[in-house]
Amino acid sequence: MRRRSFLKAALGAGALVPLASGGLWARPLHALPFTRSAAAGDRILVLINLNGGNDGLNTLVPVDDQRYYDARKVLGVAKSDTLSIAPGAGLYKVVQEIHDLYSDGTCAIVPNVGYPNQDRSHFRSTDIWNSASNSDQVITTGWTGRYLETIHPEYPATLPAAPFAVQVSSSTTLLLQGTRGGLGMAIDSPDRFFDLASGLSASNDPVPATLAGPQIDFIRRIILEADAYAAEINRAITAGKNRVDYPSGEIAPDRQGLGPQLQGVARLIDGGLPTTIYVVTLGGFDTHYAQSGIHETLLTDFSKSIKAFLADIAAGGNADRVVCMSYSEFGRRLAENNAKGTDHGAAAPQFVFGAPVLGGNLLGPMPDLGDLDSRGDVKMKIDFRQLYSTLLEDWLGFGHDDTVRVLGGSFTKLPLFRTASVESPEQSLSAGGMVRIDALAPSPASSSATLGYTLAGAARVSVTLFAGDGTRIATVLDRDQEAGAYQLPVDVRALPSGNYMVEVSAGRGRAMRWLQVVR
Amino acid sequence: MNRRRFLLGRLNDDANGPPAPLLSASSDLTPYTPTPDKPWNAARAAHLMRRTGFGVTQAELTSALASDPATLVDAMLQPYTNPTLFWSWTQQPPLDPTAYTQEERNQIYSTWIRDVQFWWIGMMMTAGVKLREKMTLFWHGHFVSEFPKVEVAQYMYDQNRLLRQFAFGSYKDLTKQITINPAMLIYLDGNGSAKGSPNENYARELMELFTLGTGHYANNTPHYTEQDVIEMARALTGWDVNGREASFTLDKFDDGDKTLFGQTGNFGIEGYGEHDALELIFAQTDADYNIARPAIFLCSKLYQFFVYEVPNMDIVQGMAATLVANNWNVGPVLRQLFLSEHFFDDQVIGAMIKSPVDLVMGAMNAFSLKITINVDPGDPESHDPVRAMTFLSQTILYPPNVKGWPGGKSWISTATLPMRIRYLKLWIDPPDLPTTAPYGFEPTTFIKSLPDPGDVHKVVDALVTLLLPVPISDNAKSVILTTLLGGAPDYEWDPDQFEQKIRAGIIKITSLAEYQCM
Repeated sequence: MRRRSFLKAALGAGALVPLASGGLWARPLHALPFTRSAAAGDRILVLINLNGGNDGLNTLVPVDDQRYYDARKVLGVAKSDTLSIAPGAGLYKVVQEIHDLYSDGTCAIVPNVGYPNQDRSHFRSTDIWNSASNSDQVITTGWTGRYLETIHPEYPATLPAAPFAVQVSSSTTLLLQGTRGGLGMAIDSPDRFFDLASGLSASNDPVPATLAGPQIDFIRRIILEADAYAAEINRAITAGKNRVDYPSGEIAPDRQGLGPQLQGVARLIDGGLPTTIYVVTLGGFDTHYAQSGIHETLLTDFSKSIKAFLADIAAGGNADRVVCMSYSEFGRRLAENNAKGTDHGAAAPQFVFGAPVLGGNLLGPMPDLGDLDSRGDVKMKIDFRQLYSTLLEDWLGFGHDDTVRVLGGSFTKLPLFRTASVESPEQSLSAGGMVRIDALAPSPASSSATLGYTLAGAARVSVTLFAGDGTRIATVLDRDQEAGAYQLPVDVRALPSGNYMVEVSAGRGRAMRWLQVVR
Repeated sequence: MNRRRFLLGRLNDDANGPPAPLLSASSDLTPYTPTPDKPWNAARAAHLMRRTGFGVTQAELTSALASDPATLVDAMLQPYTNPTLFWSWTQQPPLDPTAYTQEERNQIYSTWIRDVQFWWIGMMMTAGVKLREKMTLFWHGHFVSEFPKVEVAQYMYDQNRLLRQFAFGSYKDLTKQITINPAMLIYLDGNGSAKGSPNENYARELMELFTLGTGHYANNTPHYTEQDVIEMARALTGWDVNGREASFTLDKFDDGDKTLFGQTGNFGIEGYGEHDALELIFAQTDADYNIARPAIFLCSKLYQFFVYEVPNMDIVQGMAATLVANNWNVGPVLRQLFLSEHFFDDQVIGAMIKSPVDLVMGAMNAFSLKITINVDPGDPESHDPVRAMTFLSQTILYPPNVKGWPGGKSWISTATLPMRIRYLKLWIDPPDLPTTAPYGFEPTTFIKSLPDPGDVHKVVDALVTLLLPVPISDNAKSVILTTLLGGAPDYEWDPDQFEQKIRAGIIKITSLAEYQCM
């Protein structure tokens, strides 16, 4: 079965998927974080931009790699200052809350994310991330802008009641640009917005036939949008509630943290604003000088804010609707400079959060510090567009062909979600209980592991082995089986060390578990 | 212009965001001479004043109309002495870190930086030096430093004076000076960068953002390479900040050979090493235009700052030639531009979106508002022009990042535009609040400054000419007329009696999309 239809067929598999970190058999349905399966149209994606180039090596630390400590005599994070998530991989303790989320199964970590031929300019690289271009290509629209204009062909002829996307900022970025104009709005203060924007009006007089004309048209358009969205934003911000406390705003002099931004987003979501994409930004990651201190402050804010946000979202009953992804224009060089800082690097880990996320997983190996690029930077192993393609198809329910068109190519998806269901809750409930994984041991394994699973009824059963980056490695089994318990040996002798995922699908049920291979 | 040139210009790294319309003015840098077709009229005079200053008053407009463009522009470009700020802290060394905690220092410096902001906006309002201040703002957005990272108010003040000193001066000399400017040494981490593992931050931004630009991506012709970044960082080693000066330590300088732009030698700066690395940058040629690359780079940005957000590469080429011919001095480039057919072409009049500084200081000027500061920094509706700029996302001395303010359409969003409109409303018709009252707009005095204040129809025309860069429809004008009269017949119009209606009529104008343009 093709992976895409596989995921689609596996609707409701959330009910069956073990929490990988705990290695537990799926809990009864009512105990799952999902109270219902969100329809694709209700789903929300929150993008968290860590601006300036986050030092991935001091976030997800290669704790057993002496080369890291040799290159970072001043800045290296001691293993004892990390929280282990896998052999050789420790999260810096300042992101303790992210470790909590990882342990709870609501955070997946994707290491070595980047793009080929890393550009080390902040601005160019940010444009590449926002536009999803190749590094030798200039695209003047954003990937989410192109996605949104595909699903809203009526825009901009018809203005919706609420914006498709909200950037918490004084301006929107390339990310939300489409070929037909901007697809998102900027709000820096939802509380104040209604008061400022409602009642504005714009003339429709002809504009001058000069370069001033398009500028005036553009400004009038923004006036109309502000006025059009004011009522709905006001309704949502008035009806919405925050149910948890967030970190406070100013985390350093003149440096605003993520807390208040995510708090505003949570309130809009809680108030029922029908907006698909939210964008928040934490700046200050360009740590060329005296990195120690400011980097910890930023990571702490990131960690505490995202945990508060997810708790708030869950408390409002929206846990199954919201997924967050971090992104940053590049990581930083392995070797520290002599100003106790780090220069622009290449690939880095990114984080995906949310109850629907197949969490507790490190989707690939730690950086290979013996195989750096010509500048001494971590090489890309996962293309950033693999994340986008997974989010578009498996989270937002965007069609495969459209995804290929929006991203300018086909990028292998990652196993990021518990369920890729885009169908109704009733169907997903009926699919429960088809298959469960009882055991996958030993893990770590070096030659062979044994998969134990139980079928609730007769079904076509496939067992598939995936690499951590989502690459399909082998079909271990594909045959019809009767109800009952089974034991299946999985040969791992040919596999390099790393994390692998074993998926068992049986009819419409699906279960997955992670297997560690150590050579 | 041939098509390839035009496209290349548009693919240039300078152009960001959605593509702008492909309209292009047909005029060039030939000196503008008034003709019956293109008379020296109020629209053109107001255009010159707005673009070279901050807004325009009726008195400025009248005086400009009585003069001619060359006289006006030559007066703007007069030599000047570099003013100094009068508070005593400006003469003192940075605070002693052993005598004050970090928190205390931050608090003290943040009050001092308010002094600098206040001083600067005051000079923006000073007759005779507005272009100098506008160019200081241009350089501030080009050779960026951010106060929050620099931390020391004296360094930002010194850098601001350096930028002002070179307002019309040599781009190359300013590049050399800014490279060892203490605020810049701190901001981009040149401070302490020593041989062995030099800091790349300044080296990269120097080439990417200050002089060359990254180059064309599509055909892989970068203006500099990663290797150049490495080698440039080596050439820039050895510099520290000492007190309020830069100092050089030979031991920290990497005096080995470096290969920069394909040339090998012991490159350094300021006479250290055997060859000057910055001279080498300024000797780089732009392959598309066959002229010094930094000249194209800078003139594109000058064009965007003064004319239109998408550079017209024919005009930019001409400006670049003037820059190189005048030993990198910017003054002659500005003179040529502001006196050109292109600058006075109807195509470009009104085609720029006002920056927050233009919007706020333009209103302060046009409506003769009283400038005070620091009343309630936390209140968005307080009457502090710098605070207003902050809410509109342009705080002087706090640029958003090393690339400066992107400008153009990025100034306008659903977050900022309603706030822009609201601020004008607050200043023209303040609610009965102590925080807004001190702006002191005087409607009657304002109307009486116009040519025919007793004729309400002429008042409407005069207001539109003074406050808007492009004409508006008769229908839009009649809305303004009706508001000014507030239901009264036109023969009852009396500027002394219609104070509240005048406020309402002006707000109709400042709420138009056209008011956001200049």
